[in-house]
Amino acid sequence: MDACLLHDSHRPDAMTDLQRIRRTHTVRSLAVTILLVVLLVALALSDLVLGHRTYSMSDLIGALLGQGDEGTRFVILQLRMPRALIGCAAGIAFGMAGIGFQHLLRNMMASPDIIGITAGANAAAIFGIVVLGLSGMPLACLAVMCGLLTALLVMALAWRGSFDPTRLILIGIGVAAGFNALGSWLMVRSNQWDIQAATRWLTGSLADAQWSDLPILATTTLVGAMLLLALDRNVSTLQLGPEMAAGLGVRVSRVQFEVIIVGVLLLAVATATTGPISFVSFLSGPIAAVLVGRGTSALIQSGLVGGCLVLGSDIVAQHLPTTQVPVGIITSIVGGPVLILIMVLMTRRQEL
Amino acid sequence: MTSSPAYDAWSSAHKLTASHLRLTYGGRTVIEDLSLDIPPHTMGSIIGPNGCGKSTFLKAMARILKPASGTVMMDGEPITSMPTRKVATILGLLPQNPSAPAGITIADLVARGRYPHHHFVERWTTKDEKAVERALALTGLTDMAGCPIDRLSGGQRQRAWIALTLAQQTDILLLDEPTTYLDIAYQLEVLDLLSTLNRQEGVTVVMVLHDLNMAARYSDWILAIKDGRRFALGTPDEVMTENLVREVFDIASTVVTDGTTGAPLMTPAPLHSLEAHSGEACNAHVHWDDSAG
Repeated sequence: MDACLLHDSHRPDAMTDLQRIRRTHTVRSLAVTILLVVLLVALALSDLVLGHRTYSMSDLIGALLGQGDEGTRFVILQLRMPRALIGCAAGIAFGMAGIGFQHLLRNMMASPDIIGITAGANAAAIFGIVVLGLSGMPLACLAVMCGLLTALLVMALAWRGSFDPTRLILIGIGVAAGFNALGSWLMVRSNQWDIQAATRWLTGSLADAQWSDLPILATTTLVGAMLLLALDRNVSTLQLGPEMAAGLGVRVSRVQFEVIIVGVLLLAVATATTGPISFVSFLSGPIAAVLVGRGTSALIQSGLVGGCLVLGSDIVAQHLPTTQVPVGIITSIVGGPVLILIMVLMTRRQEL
Repeated sequence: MTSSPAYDAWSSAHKLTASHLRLTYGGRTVIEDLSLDIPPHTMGSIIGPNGCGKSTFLKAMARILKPASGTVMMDGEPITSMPTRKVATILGLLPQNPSAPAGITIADLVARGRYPHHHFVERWTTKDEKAVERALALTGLTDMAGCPIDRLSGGQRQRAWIALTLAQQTDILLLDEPTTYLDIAYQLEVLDLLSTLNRQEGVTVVMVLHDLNMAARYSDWILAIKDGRRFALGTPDEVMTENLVREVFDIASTVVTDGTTGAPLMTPAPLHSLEAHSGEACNAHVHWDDSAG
């Protein structure tokens, strides 16, 4: 307990101590935010200059200013720029939606890719590709709609006057299993060409990123991020348990419903653009929480971590010695072990 | 019923009243018909056997459980029609199992009690700072403000939660079994703190308690609930009788006056099954002790 005592010899008044604690928190979360922004920008710039052909910084600046040769401009502005921006926006959307769910349900396991929402969107996308022959925007809309419907289904099944996080997670895992099975069944029955299209969609890839995808994704990410930020104080208070929060004046069910809807929208639009990039929404929250210190809200930081994860993984994915792989493969390779680690830690601390 | 002379400005005090509440929980009626006028600036306890509905009743008083019928009124206005955030500036609740986010410090936890005093994007003010500082001082946690909550002992943790409700700065404080899981020293610590708040700050305290003797010792009034109805309401002396203990808890007991506090003190008589074997068990124990010594 001694370590907790602030000063032993000369006791300053409480005011100073409180301000000091608060300032430490603020400084740390500000420092982390700045660092993450710098990292995100650095990764985005690397994504622009690195590739089949590596450009220099002056080439990049030239292309951005509309100078330089046409080939360089085309590669940087038409091929790599949308890829970097979409990776960035999708990563932020995944990261913020993930921590939104995790905080709301007070459980690190409660990320949307664990509780069935991603699985629902995926199954719908496979159905769209294989059975309906959809692609592009209609396919994305179908995936978004079904992501939302899955969220509502899980919520309806778990609802008993309020959400019990554990019940929601377990029901979500069950629903996810069901949709994954449905997806596999559809894949088995489909023809060769469709399987390829569906597989490409399912792994999550930035390879097909185009400027035309950006406006909807960027707008949704921005609006969703602002809504989640506005709800953040309610969510922080909800973490004290539903009864305590209600006692403090939080409208519990309403806040839960709002966060889930905003989270699903963010997630579904990002998934519709890039495909489900595995584990980003699951990983970002815990990483951000470790960075800013536990017990502090890490909403913005989680979004930035998500962006860094996607861009970083995309750079790795493009530069593997043997062959280029979709970004989702890299995030899965990182995410799987971390999932196991978190489960082991939570089981040990009996938080699951 | 006693009231502290420093706080007899009763007209300005907030009045919480429950009239003819019928409360259901998962389709089952828990409280049939219960009314209670909470006298301002008093400290009161609700007692009764497990499952009698005392916690449910407290939740309804705190507007987090909607009554099937009947109303809870705050200053004559139905509490359900008031903005919930406004209610939270008058009425604080400490539920049985609040959960602290892992790693949160006492200072951060207590600061969350300021929630109802803030609007959409309002910033942290000196007033908030003062309220948190005062809550920490009253609960004796000032020196530990930077300590993570999961490193605290049971009593300190409970004090931190009480500090949160104090930072909320409400005139009325409802607590659901604030001493559960605490050893006798911590029970006294928590109840003494609540008593101090009541006497010195004029906070109206209502708590659900399991320990009848603690209820008798610390309360101005006691409400005994049996089978979803009010069995008795009055001062500890009026309520804590051998008859009530037999009727409500179905056990025989002796009630005497506590020499130190003057409060009624209940000693339960052994149950029949225990009585038959008690002599034997006692002898065996002594014998075992002898051989060990």
